[in-house]
Amino acid sequence: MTNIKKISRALQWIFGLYLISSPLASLFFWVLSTFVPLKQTFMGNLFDQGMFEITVRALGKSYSLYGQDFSWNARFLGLLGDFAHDIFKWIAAFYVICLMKLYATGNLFSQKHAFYFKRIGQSLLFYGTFGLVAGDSILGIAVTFDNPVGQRLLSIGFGTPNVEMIVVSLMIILVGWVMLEGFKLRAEQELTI
Amino acid sequence: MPLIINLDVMLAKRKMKLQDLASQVGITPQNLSVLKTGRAKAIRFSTLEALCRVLECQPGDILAYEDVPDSFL
Repeated sequence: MTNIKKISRALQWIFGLYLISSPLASLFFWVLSTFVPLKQTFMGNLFDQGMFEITVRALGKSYSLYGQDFSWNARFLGLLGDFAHDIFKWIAAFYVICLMKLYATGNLFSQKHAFYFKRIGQSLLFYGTFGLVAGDSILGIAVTFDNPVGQRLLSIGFGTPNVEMIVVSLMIILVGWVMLEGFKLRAEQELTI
Repeated sequence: MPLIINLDVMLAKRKMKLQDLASQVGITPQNLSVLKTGRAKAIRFSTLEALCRVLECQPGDILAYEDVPDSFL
């Protein structure tokens, strides 16, 4: 098997694992940790040692959520916020898996490749514009939902991480467009006798 | 497509097979089949010249133009 096939298969597995574990991790933290306190698990040790962090950004700062106790309403909002934050990343990961499937079968250049690149770029663009903003806003409400009235926080921010993600996503969309134009040129050349 | 390819007509007139014509012109039978079935997007002058030389004909014997009016569907 050629290198590209081997690496593509490995990346399929890695992104597939991410696609499954990321929503499960959110579900575990916001819902299941009520029944299995995080501090008493192996993961709890890792959090205590600072190897893992769960944070929410509000008012330009990051606040750690580890060890916090939330009501069910706050947990539901937190889960919603996490999903809103990550759903476009999961869509991008799905399209990366589709792209790797093509490379794994030895198909290196086709219209489908260009389509998947475009979709990955669009997903990351939506992540940078809506996902980050909506997710962080909802998470900000979630973590302060249990506070007394007057001490709850709604913060809507758009900063450097958003701009960086938008720039990267536009670059990926550009690569997809170039690939599509290249494919059209190749198809035309193939049909030139 | 308004351009009509009469290659099969010329092949019949010269009693020649597609594979033989392709080998004499210097292109693959698959490529020539693309032209014969009207799927070609472009043809090089060098290929057209070779076809006319082998088939002993004019370009107009191989290519014809027919204006197709827009259909109302």
